[in-house]
Amino acid sequence: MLSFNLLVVVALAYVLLLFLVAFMAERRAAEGEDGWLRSPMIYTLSISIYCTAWTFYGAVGYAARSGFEFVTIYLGPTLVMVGWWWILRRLVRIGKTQRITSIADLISSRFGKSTQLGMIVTIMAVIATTPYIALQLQSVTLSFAVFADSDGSSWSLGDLNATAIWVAIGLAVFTIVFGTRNLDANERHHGIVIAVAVEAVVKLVALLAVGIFVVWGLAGGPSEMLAQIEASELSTWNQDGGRWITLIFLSAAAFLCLPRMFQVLVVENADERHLHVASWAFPLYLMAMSLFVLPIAVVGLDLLPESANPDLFVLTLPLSQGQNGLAIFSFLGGFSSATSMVIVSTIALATMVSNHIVVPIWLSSGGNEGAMQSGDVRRVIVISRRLSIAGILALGYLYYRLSGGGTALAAIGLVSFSGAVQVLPVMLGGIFWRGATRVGAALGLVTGLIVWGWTLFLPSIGENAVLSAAVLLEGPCGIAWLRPQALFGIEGLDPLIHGIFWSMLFNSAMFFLCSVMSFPLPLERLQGAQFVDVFAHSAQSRTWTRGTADAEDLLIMSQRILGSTQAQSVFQAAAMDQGKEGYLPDVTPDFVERLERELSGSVGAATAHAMIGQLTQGSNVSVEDLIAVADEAAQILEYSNQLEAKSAEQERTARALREANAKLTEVSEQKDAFLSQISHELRTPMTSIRSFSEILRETEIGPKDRSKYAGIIHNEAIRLTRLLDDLLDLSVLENGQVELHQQSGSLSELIERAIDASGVSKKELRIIRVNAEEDVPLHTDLDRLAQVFINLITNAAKYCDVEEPELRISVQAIGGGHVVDFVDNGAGIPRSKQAMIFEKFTRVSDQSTAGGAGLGLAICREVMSRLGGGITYLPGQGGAAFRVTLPAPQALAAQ
Amino acid sequence: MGKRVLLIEDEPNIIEAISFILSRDGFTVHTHEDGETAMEKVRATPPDMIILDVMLPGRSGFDILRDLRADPITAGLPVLMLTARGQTKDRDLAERLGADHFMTKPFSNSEVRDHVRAVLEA
Amino acid sequence: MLPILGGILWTIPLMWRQQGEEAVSNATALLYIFGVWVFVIFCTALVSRLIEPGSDLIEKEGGS
Repeated sequence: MLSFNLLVVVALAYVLLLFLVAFMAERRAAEGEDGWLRSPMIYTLSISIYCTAWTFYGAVGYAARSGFEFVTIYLGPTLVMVGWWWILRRLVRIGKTQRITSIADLISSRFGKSTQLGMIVTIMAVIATTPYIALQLQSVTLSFAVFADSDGSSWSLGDLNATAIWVAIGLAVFTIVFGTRNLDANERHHGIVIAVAVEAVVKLVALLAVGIFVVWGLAGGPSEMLAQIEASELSTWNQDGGRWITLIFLSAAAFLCLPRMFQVLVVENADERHLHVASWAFPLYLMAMSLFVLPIAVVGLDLLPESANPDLFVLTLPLSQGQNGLAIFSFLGGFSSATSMVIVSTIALATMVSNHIVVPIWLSSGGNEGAMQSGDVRRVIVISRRLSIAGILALGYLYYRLSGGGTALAAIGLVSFSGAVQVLPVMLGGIFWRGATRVGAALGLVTGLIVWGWTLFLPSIGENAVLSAAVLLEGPCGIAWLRPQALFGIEGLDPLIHGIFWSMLFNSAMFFLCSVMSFPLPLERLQGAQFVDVFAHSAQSRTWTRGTADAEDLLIMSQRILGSTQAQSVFQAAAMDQGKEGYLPDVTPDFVERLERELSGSVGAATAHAMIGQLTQGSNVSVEDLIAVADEAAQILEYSNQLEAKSAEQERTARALREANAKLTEVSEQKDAFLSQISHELRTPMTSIRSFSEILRETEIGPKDRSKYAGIIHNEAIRLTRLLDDLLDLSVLENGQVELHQQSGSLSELIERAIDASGVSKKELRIIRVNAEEDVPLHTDLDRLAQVFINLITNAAKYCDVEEPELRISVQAIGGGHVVDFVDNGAGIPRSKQAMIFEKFTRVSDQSTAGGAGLGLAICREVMSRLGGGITYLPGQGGAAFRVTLPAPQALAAQ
Repeated sequence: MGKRVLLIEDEPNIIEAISFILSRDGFTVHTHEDGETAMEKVRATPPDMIILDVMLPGRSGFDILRDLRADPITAGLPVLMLTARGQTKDRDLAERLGADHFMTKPFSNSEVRDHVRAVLEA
Repeated sequence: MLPILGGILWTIPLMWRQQGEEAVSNATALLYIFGVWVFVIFCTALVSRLIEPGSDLIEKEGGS
């Protein structure tokens, strides 16, 4: 007999393999070699998390109990996939244009970015998914128990519970490690996707292997198999039409509404065209999965004792025939089905919980007014996502314990399905019907949830667990028409049909009636128009009019959510599109819209809208926008879209021109002032020199004063020389006559050298070097680069006007190159001066006492551009912040 | 106690030089470095004469001069303007605003001393 | 129209006789249901292929 320990070893080895595969995939993706990760086949395989342990084990049990009914669960999704052109394509397109992160986000976003709706859907999803997760835990546990039994040791309930808890912990760890790497739910979780794909292959091959063994090994071939089916007790076609159609509908709906399916179908979709392949490949997968179900059930009923649990035939059949290898393989298949479902489900739910429950609460509880620092919101979200994952698995375990692990697998699955499909009316209404409103959606959802909970969910936990047997039989407080399984006294219906019928009826009716009776908010109308006509005009409508927000404030906020690197690149790209340099674009409605979508990829539409709303304050939707929405005629919209595109183009050109003009004027004024500036800078030290030399010549003064005055003359002469040096240096640099001396060295040594050479003492300025990424080889004119660094360090020492001045020097790899940031903790440079600081003779403080002539940064800029790098001011960092972009290595190699 | 000269200038070495020259001649020299608060200083301790630099932190010497002339109490104070920019338009502006005299840096010590003497000991 | 066709084909078995001597056996049902399945998959694959060349209608969404 098979050693149980061997099984544990195999299972652990398999888990280890999955970790390895996921890790490698993340690695490859990080290196940019993710082409194969985005293939349509991987997409199709990841959709196969539809087939959970319920499919793997439960389908056979289902077939053994109810004959052909099991197949309805796979026919429904087949119909949806086959008809992808209608619904799926629309969902995927909406998901992409609106950067939807989950099904809760879809609904909240459609109905005016409503926080409440997001919460409702999230809560529903958690409640509906919990039994399903419990089911997976149960199936893994039972399958372990089968092997333990065959090993001779019978398991007690305690052993089962212990197994379940270990499985739950293991899954939580895996999901946290690979599922919370990227904050942006729109970015794909490569590790998870690839692990799920591997598991999809394993479970398919395992089930096929058992099926082939049964048909060819045990029955003796396909024709014998068919004969055996004829002869078995499942021989005749005996289907209840109501259940048949209800179940096809239910599975089709669940396929769209289950949070995990939404996650893989819409959120993890890399390319709309993958649907083309998945539309036939996934039905094929489903067919292959169900092909051998009936044969296995028939043979199992035939060969195994009466008492055997048909849910486990897939395991017990090979075991009873002494096929231990096959049994282990089949165990891995079941294990794969269970784990992949749980992993994806928990990620989907954790995203929903953190975006729609935790973050809104955190924001409204004043977390937003706390210390503003880069990435702090991000941290909150990541932590909440991790806790949610653990919490959801804990809930699943709890349900498993509560339900006593007794109910047949298929029954739990159906209850869970019917809970998830309560979202269907609102989802379909939202994407096809403009008249749907927030009030209707909320009431429909809540009604559906209540009816479902009463008629299906609570009874499913088991008699006497929550509802007593008396309530089931006689209704609450003896009110007969409220009996959970016979509402309004209609008896004799199958409990499942009964529950689905009433919940969907009330749900849709409430949704429809309340939508018709209530009036949508402007924002709802806009979103509605965009969702329903997603193909007609994928262009964004504008929900923001010219805002009052300051670009720098927006940048600070975005940095808190996206982290500084990503936020800066978004802002820089936007500024570039507007024809501006630097990191601060004009706050146009387009830009705010774009930023909001960017943020909603991380925190969901409702939260992103609320956060931006705080900054732009009330400048929400204008009359113009409303007219645009009210106008149903597609032609007019089309026309106005074109006009808008043109005027946007003109606006961009005009803005670039304005900017250029302003700069020219400023520069010419500067040029005009240049002579008088030079005059001033030269005459000031000369005045002191002349004055003191006259004093020394004319007057009898003591030796102490004499040496003091001589010292002044000396210092001023040096200042004069330095000024002349700088001027010459700058003019050489500007004329491009400079000779560069290429040397090789390391960045960290160069920074070290610059700090030493700057002669800044620890008391004047505390220098903090942030991370270890400094180990960058350089090949450039090191002396020139050091000159830039020294300048920035001495500037910080001179101008950082706080009690304990600090300068942070951090090196980061961004977009293939490296940047060095110099950030101090002073007051920073006011917006009005940021554009000019790199110009000659610009001083931020008017203090000539600080000693500079205002040439340092101008020289830095010239040096960096000669070296093929750059230097910019980085707004929104707290203090004055300069970013030096190191010359790109390729450019250096070419020189 | 000699007559009081208020020197509004931000370059420490020049302050030292002018203070030295004038104190040696028996004048009392007060100094002030900031353009923003210069008027308060003038009102708090009214001097007999002001030496005013053009390029000051906060506010320019021209602005201060305009204020001085606008205030009846200080309208008659003798003002000597100093500038390092050396452009004729600066000189014109200073005269239009009512400066008594205008000097371009670098000046000779005797030039300053002679002018102050001429104004205060007349 | 494929989902409708598939839906209709898959509900036909409900009209089969369920009792008595002439009741359709499950072996036949197995062949019928999976036969329809293969047919539907084949049609979808065909349709997808046909749509593919015209898929420039579906503009590629760059990583915006």
